[in-house]
Amino acid sequence: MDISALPMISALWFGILTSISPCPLATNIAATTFIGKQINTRYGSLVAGTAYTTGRSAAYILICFAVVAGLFSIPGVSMFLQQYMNKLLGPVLVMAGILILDLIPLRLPAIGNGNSNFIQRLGKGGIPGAVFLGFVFALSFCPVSAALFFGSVIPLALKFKSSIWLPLWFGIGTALPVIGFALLMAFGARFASRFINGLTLVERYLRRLTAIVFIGIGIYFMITYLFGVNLFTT
Amino acid sequence: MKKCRLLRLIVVSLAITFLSLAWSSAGRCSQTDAPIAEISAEYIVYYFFMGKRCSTCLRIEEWSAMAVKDDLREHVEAGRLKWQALDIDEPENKHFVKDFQLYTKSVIVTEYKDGKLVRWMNLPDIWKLAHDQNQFIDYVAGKTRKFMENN
Repeated sequence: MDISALPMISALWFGILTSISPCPLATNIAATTFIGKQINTRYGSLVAGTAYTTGRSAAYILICFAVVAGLFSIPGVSMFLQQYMNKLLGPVLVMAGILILDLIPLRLPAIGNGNSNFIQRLGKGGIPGAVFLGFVFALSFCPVSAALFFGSVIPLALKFKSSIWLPLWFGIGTALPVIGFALLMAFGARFASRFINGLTLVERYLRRLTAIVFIGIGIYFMITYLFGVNLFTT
Repeated sequence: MKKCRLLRLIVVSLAITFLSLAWSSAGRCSQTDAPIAEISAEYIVYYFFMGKRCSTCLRIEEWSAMAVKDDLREHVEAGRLKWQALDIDEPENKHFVKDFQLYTKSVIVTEYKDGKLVRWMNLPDIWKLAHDQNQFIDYVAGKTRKFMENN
C-alpha cells in the first residue's frame, strides 16, 4: 500500500475540523473532564488521552473497514448511527456519571479470571473507561462528523485503499483538541493540589465534577434526542 | 445514606423531566416545511435535513438559499430553478435518502425533464466551507451554475 502524506494530513485536518465544530461540543466536554480527572499518576491524563484516541480510531477503522469491504452502505450506516447512537448515549452517560460517583456499588459475579467488574472499571476511569468512551463517542455521529467522515475520509480511503491509516488519522484529529484541553485541566489540577490539601482532595472534586458533567450532558442528550426538544442549537 | 439520597434525587429529577417532556410533546404535531415540490422547474436545489437542527446546519440552509435566490436570481425568476428545503424524517421524503445516497444533511442539485429526475449532484464541500459565507455562497452558486450549463 503506497499512500502519500497528503491524504493522511487531510484526514487529520478533517478530524480536527470535526472536533472544533460546535456539534460534538457536549461529548467533547464530557471527554475532557473524564481524561483531565486522571491525576493520580503523573502521566495519568496522557495515558487516558491515548486510550481515548485509540477507542475513537478503533470505531472509525471498524466502520471504514466494513464500508470498504461492502458490508454496509454509506447512507445506511451513517443514518443508522446518527439516528440511534445519540439516543443511546444519554442513558449511557447518566449511567456512567452514577458509576463515577460510586452511587451504585456493583457486585457482579466473577467471570473467568476474576476479571469481572468491567462496568465498574469503566465508571472509575483509567484505560478501559477511556477506550470505551472514545469508541462510543466516535459512533455518536453528528451532522458535521458524519459529513466529514462519510463524505471525505471514506472516499479518500476507497481511493487510496487505506481502511486503516486514514480513519486512524481522522480519529487522532478528533481527539487532539480534547486531549489538549484535558492535559491543561490535569496540569492545572495538579498545580492547584500543591496549595490545597493534597492530590486526593482535588481528585475527589474532579471526580464529582466529571460525574455531574456526565449526568448533565446525559440528560441533555435524552431531552434532545429521545424527546426531540431543542434546548440549544449547537 | 447520603449516596442513597443523592441517587434518589437523580432518579426523581429524571422521572419528572421525562414526564413533563412526554406531556409537552404529546400534544405537539410534527413540524413539516413545505410539501414536496410540484416538479415544474427544470432544476431544483434541495437542502435535506433531519433530526436536530444544529447551528451549522441552519447556517448551511440559510446560505444555500441565499446562493440560489440571490446569486442565481435570473434563473429563479425565469422559473427554471427552484430552492427547496425538505425534512427526510417525513415518511413521504424518505425515498430521497436512497435516491441521492444521503449520509447527512446535504445540498443536492438536480435536473428534471418531463417531471423525471435525469441528473443530480451532491455538494459535499458545504461542510468544509460552513465557516466562510462568501466562499460557501460562491461554491454553491458556482457549482449549480456549472451543473445547469452542462445539460
